[in-house]
Amino acid sequence: MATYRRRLTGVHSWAGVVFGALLFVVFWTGSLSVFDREIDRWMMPATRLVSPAIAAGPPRLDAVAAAVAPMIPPGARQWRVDLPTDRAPLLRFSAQSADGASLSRQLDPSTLALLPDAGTRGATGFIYPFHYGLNIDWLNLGKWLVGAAGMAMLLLLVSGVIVHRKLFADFFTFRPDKRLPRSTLDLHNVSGVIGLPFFFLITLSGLAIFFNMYFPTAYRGAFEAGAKGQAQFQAEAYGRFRRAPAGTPGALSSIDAMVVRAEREWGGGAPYFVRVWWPGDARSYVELRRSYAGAVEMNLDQLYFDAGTGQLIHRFEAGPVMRFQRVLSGLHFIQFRHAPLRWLYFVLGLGGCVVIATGMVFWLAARPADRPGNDHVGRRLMLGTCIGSVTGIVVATLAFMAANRLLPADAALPGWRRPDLEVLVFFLSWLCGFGHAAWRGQKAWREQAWAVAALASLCVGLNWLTTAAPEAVWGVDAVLLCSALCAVACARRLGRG
Amino acid sequence: MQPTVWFRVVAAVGGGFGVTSLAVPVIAGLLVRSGLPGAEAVVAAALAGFLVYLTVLMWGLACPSVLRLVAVLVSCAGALASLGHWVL
Repeated sequence: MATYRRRLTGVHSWAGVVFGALLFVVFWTGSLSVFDREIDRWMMPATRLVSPAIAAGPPRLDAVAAAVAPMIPPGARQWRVDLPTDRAPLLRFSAQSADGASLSRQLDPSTLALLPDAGTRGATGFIYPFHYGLNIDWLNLGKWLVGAAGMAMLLLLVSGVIVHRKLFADFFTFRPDKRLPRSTLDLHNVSGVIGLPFFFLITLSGLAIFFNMYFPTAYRGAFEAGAKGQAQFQAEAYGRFRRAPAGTPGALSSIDAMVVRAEREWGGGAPYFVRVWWPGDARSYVELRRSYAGAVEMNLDQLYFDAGTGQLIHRFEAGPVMRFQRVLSGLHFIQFRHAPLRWLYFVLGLGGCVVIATGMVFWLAARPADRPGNDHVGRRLMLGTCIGSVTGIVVATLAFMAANRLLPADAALPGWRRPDLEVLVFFLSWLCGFGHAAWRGQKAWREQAWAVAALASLCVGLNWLTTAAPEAVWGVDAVLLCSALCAVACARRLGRG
Repeated sequence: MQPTVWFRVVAAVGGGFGVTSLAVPVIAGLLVRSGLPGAEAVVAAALAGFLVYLTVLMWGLACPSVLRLVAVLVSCAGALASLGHWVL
């Protein structure tokens, strides 16, 4: 056991060195995605609408269908409306034309008026996809990298438990006034032990969401190899009803009547989105998906109605194992309505950031540069990536939010629309974070902590100066102010050594 | 770093994933044979796959002998391939 433990110590530190930076990025963007809708409201001031649950009640879908009808491109494949929720009090309309191009607009649910173009991807359009795809679409490389980091995290957690013998004592040991390497290791151990069940669950469930991508040949165990078998598996696991268009015109009967039928079929469950396939065609059909706001499990309950007659033509409910996978997914996506749990996820997610960052910092602190043989390229590279990925991405995120408030509504460069410019600011400031870390070395920690404090305060100021209802997003502002205070405390503590 | 360390990492990480990817459809096939519906068996096998891979990594990266590591991985792959012929 002693030799196995010693060998695992090496595995633990090398997996941490190789994947630490990437893991921090994934945990940071994941923690922010817990509040993606709230950050959306911060970045899209026009959508700070009164929650429709308080207002007149859910909108009539027939009226919604009439309101969006002029926006549906001729010969469209499908259009879809996502219904308002407590956290996103707006209607989201999206459509896909025959050639696959998509468009999306936001509507006020009480007046059905179009909201102005948000001019931003927001957290749901950038930070959240970055969390699992790193903005790299090519060959799904981003998702594979995140998956590899996920496996590394599981390995780090299990090996970490085996490596640390005094698991119980570690739980109560934090000596912030000792020298920094000792305090760092204490913090690494105490936050690692407290969050252990959460870290394991969140990593495993994150991997489980993309099981079909990480094990692309799994379906061959039960279906024939090839696109047909793959599609058959998708249909049986996730429920996909498809019907080809007729090419002759058809009408759309009352969607509200279909919703009434759906609520009866689902024993009171309500739909969260409605999708119309092949609008205007004689074989057009309407898809209703059941809301999972009230449960951990992200159910896959679907009902399909013939658009012309309003008859129920197909229904789907997932099998028990798939439902288990959807419980795991639900534990990761936290789409259920529960504010205290949401905050717990946020705090534990940031706790994961602390574990990862302190792990990397301890590795560096255990190899001080002033000791002979330590000041090699590998260590300097590690220091640069560590600072650039930890404080660097925090700076980049805050710069992204500040750019959202500072760029004029019509800002554009040739080939770059306003949302792209915000993303450009994110990547440029992140690059600056890496450059600054490479240039300043150890001193960059403190300087970037001050930058975080300044930018977070700037964001709060900009929200109050440039938007009409700043108090509607007070939660985001409060977290920004806490981050600023935290950054100041870190910068001062780093000054003491 | 010694070349054997690199070899061990490649064998455990790459070879381990290869063996796991072979095992997942075989497990799914066995579950189908024991009466589970097709899609359910695939999901169960793929979810188990993550834990299988984690176990392989935990053992392989700390395995004292690289030779033993490679020998076990190769024989597992062989066994799974022939089992796959029979099951699938």
